[in-house]
Amino acid sequence: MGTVRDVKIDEYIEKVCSQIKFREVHQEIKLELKGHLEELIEELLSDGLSEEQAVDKAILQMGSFQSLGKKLNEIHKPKPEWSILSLSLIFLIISIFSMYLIERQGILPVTSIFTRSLIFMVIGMLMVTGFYLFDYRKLEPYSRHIYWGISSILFLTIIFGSQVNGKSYFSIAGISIDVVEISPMLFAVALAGIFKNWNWSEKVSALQGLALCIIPVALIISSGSFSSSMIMFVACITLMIVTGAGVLNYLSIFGFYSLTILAFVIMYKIQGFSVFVFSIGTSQGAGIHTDFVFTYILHTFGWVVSIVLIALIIIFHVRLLKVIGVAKNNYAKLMINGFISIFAVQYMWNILMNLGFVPITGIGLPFISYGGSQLLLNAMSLGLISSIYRRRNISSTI
Amino acid sequence: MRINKELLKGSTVILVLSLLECESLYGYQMIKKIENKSNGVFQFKEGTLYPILHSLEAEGMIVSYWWGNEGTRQRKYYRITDKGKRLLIEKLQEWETFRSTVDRVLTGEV
Repeated sequence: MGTVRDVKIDEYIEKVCSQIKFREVHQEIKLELKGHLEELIEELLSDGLSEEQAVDKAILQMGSFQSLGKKLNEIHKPKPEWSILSLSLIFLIISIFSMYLIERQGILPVTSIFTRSLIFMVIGMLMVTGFYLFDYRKLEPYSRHIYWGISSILFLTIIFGSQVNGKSYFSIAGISIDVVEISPMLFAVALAGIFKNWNWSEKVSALQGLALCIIPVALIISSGSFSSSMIMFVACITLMIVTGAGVLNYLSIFGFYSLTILAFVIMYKIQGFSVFVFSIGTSQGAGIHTDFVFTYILHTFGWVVSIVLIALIIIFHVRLLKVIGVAKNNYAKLMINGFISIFAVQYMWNILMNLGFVPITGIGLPFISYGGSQLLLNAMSLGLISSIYRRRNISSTI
Repeated sequence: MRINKELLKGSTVILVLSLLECESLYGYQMIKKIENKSNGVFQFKEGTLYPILHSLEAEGMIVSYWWGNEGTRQRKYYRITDKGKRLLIEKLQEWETFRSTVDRVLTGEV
């Protein structure tokens, strides 16, 4: 171990990296350049040069740290995924505009829906920016904490939370949070980290994996939200497929889910609620629901605008899928898979529901329907997706 | 004979891509291979190679991965993608046209 040699190499590499503003790529660049210099020095040493000569020559051959650093800085300048961000901004603008009209026409018995939407939009944009700058890889070590944290909050909400029209709300300091509705997104973040290297072929761990999927679905069902349980179920199945869980596991969770729903329907039938699926879904809750904003848009702006909107929604998903393709980190890929499945179910079900093809449940149109906690959660996932895109070339975990 | 730096710069991408078409390599190997294959005529400044590798990766032409046995040095290997292969074909055609045209002009054939 020649210490002089290490000091000189490190000094050179530090100087290169000091030119690169995006700090999160430093580690990989340092390793790569250091490996190169060491290999070069070894070769020069075997050519008969003295250690000092070899080090100096190797660094000289590397070229000036300024030009190397400058070029690397230019390449690693983070570029946001503008298409996804602008598409969601378009959705938000459509939302704000619709809320303005809805308020002016006095369709809903509330007066401040436009102002509230504006406030949530601003907070949402701040959240996107915040999560974009935040390194998503820092979340991974806390996956299990997030998972059990959300599970406990859900559990407590079901037992102690305020019940409004069969739906549980978590209230703290006068603000009621729709924990149930926002939980699938958070579970997706947690499960991405947990399932990253999951071994589904081993029996015990496969059973554990199944349990980890069933717990959130079961909790959400017992809270009384059919719509959120369906979203959670699809997200779980997606994560299982992507991590290669195998047919038997999909069938078990599918069987569990259909049996539970069936049991609920029968149970409620006995109690006189013949349309469980319908009644639970349409709960108005403590907030304001604009699940039929698509119908409103269709009536107010016509078919052309609605078809354009659907096209934009499809493009939005295609762009999200692209991010999976370019991201190198497996945790990141899984997380986006979860998000896409959640977005896709919400958009599809809501639009089909607006067009009258599927039963009415409490699923809103992401970014467009009014919904405080829901919008903020969508903003969070958008921010995390941007964070992943920004760091797509970094494969290492923290 | 030393080759003019600017001349070499313009052909680095095609050289790198054609090397990677055969096998995955790390930076140091690429420099050695190019030096050997060109009988020492092409001597890269390492400093020019890495920015090219990194920008090719940002464009999706190549992907990198870390690999190395336990306890030994981890190396960053680069592998060509399908997109990169298409770019290589394009570059080769461009090069062929360029080369034959220069030849024709220089030898004065019409």
